[in-house]
Amino acid sequence: MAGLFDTLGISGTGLTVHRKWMDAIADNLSNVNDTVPGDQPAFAERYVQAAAAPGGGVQVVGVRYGSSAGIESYDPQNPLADANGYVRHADVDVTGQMTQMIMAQRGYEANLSVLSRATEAYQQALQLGNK
Amino acid sequence: MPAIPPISGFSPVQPVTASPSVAAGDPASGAKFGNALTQGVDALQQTQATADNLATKAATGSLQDVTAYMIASNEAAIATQLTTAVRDKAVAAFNSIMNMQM
Amino acid sequence: MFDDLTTSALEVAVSGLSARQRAIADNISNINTPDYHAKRVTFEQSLQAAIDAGNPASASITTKTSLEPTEANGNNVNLDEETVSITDTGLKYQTSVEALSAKFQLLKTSIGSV
Repeated sequence: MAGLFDTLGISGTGLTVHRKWMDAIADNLSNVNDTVPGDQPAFAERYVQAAAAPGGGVQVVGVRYGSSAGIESYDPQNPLADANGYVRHADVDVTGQMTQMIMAQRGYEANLSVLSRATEAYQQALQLGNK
Repeated sequence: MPAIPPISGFSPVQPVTASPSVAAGDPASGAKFGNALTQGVDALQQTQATADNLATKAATGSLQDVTAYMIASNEAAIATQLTTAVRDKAVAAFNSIMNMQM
Repeated sequence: MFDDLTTSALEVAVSGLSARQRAIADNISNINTPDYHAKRVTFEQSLQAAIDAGNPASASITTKTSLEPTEANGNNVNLDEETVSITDTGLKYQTSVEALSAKFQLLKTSIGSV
């Protein structure tokens, strides 16, 4: 039988993955208005890839990047404009990122609540026979 | 006036003798109590060893199931209380016999 | 009377776990300190070896610096890890204290002053 200390470790991996996911979302949202010269790649959204860890829990197995095409616009007045007068804006899907942020936050909270429930269960077990 | 009939139906009073069921120094029953006590103490040591083993696991962080330890620990505590109660009764019985007025 | 294997092992565990609690408190309070490296307290392996050798009191409690990769500010404290660790350590501490008091209670029962 898996002990309660395993449960703690497993919720710990859940916390870490959801925190990294939140980090990626924060990074994506903070770069929402990045602008680069038209001949350079725009900011690409970062996605955290999670998978079940062997022996229990979850782990980050990699990072994937979205398209760096961005949105090209003609703006010769912009000091960042390339030789042809083009700049490239980041094309971050803000709505999608906000949705993901809620999911990541819910996931983090769920893992924290498992942690505290497991703690309570363990403390109940420690009271066995002490009534 | 009719004569008073003689009282009958009484047997003569028997002289007091030791009852065979409480014969002093019966070696068989003494050994039985001794065996029971030894077995009780052995079982107690076994229970305490189980609880100790799990407590040592708790100390090194390798205890997998805390309920298993709590149950073993409570079993050891109750078995010890029982053995102590039996010991106290045995000592009390010994003392009453020793203080018996002869 | 108090130097049996289990009692000594539990005493080492209680000291080790409270040292770990101090280290975690230290780590959490330094979560934003540049170039701070998390502290890790270990004693379980040493205690197991000492128990196997029949003398738990010879176990050592070691504090080491975490070698995990650092953030941009040179700090490598991971709050999730510390949160899980403080919970785990707290429960193990409670278990060890419970086990120690159970041991003492057994002695008291045998002596007769329940």
